[in-house]
Amino acid sequence: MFFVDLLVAGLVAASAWGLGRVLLRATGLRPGSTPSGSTSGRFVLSIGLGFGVLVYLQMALGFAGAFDRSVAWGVLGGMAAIGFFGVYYWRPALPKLGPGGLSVARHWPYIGAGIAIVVYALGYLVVALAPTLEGDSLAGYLVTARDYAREGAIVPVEYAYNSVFPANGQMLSSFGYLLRGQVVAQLLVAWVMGVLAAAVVYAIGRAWLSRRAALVGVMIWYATTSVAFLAASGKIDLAWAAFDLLSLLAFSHWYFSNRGARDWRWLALAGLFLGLAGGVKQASIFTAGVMAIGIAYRLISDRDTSFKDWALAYGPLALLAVPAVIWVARALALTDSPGFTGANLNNDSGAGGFFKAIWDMSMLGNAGDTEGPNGKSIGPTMLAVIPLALVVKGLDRRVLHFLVFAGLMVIVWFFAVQRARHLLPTLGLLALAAGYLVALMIERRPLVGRALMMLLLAAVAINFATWGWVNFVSLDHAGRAFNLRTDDEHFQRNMPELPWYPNAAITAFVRDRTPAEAVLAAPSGSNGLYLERTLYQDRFQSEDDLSNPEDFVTWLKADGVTHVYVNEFVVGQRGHGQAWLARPDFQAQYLTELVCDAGQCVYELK
Amino acid sequence: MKRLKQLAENRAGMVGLALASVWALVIFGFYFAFKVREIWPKIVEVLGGG
Repeated sequence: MFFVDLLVAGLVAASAWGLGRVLLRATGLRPGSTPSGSTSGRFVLSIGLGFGVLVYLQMALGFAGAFDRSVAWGVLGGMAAIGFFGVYYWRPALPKLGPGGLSVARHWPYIGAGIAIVVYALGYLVVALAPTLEGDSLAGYLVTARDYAREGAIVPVEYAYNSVFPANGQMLSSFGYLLRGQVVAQLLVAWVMGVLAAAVVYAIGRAWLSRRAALVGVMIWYATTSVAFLAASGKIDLAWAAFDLLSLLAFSHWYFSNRGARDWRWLALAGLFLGLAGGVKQASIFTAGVMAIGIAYRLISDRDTSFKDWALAYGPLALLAVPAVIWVARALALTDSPGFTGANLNNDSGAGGFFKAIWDMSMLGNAGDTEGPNGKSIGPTMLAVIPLALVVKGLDRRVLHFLVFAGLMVIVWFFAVQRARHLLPTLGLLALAAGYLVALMIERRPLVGRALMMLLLAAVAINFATWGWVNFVSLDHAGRAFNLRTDDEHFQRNMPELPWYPNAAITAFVRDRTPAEAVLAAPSGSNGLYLERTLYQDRFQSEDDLSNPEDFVTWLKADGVTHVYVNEFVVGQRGHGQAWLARPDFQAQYLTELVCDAGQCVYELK
Repeated sequence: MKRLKQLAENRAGMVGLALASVWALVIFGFYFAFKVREIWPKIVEVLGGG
């Protein structure tokens, strides 16, 4: 029932918020430079702290082998009980309108931005309420989270491609699996974290720029195709963005304070969130590097700083970020690699390549060959609007600091993994800078500002139309989200559009009619979350690799393989037609056909 | 002299703003063009023309 899933996810978020309020009060930190700015800052820091505690609790329980449904509900009950004290004295203050009130004629740009944010959030929610059809989630991110919950511990899930990646994000999704199931997992790791990340972007803008700049900035960021794509998945990038942005929010309170008012506890808080973010995705190492440069800049500008000043700046930041290293140590213990390096991805290079990467990413996406043109665009707004900063006088200097920080991050990003989702927190700052410039133009040059806003709203609307087409028309998530369809009907309706994945008939057969301990091998990638079985998707070896088919079969049996899944479409796409498992002569001699449907077959190994 | 300098600065500001506005228009223009090219076949299909 979708409303029960929603209720459970809401309870987790509310408990995290209440718990975080207690913790934030205990630190004595007061976020925000203005009283109203502090409301949004306090809210996001509280909820972030609560989720941070949940992630580390889950990590401890997972490594101790104590993942269990009753333990998870106990954790939630404990969080809710402490959280109750956090919200007991909460007295909400409604935002006050200006002296002129709200006028559609005057304020339509901001009313439009607010409506766009709400429409996007509702669209993302509906999609998150149905089992995802996103490839990486089916091949890895939800596979690991589900298997952690199923096995009762954080165990190597060798058949998932991200088995040894950092797994703080999966701590949230496995919590969802333990509490109720996949939809709660998706809600926690994708939708709630997406809303939190957007709220942090708002809080940063509200604290250092203005309410209007923050509102437009949130719309620009939240409506990018990159965020929209992630919102329809069970991937961890939005959780990473939320924690990384929280660390930037805490860091900004230290960075933008006057020398006498700089409080090292803000850096400790930034370190805590950086550790959480780094444990979701290693890309936070770049945030840490640029933050370290920012600290050095501030301290060197102060001139007569002592060793104690430097120690009190870097020490707490580094110390509280250390838990992220646990996942690197785990990866090194299980493999020879510290984790994902992105070394095998196609990237642009050189000065021309830099502009091409930015240009492509601002148009329809910068990785058309591997990720699809609809997947990972950030939209044109940032590229179109930010150059205004070169010609507008009297800019808030903090915007320049945002831009320098973002510029350094973009340069590092260019030399690492050139995908928009690896830049999400920086895109939040760039969106705020763009939002600030649009709001400034509306104030100083209404004609230019309002024209920009119309273009921006048109881009956001067209983007929602194409994303909505993919997710509600071409694919249909709404039928399953509102319980008008079962899971099997959801797969029957949608899998014909997604030939890379096991189709509905194959999924039902493997899930319902093979033994629970069955192990499948496939010659090519297979995105097999819904098969509910171990699926080795890299058994594409051919005669060139193993000349004797008996040796190949022996190898399969040594890995416990009992069944074989062949998807002709994927075999063709990957060029694995000569793989032993795809060859008819091998199939005739060593396999027994169990079911075939629409070019996909399941066999039993003789 | 001071007034002339002020005038020159204002003109430069206007030219800069005009250039930045044209830049923004060009970027949005390319984006909308790419988007229309991407979705046009679907529009034709839905409206029954293709």
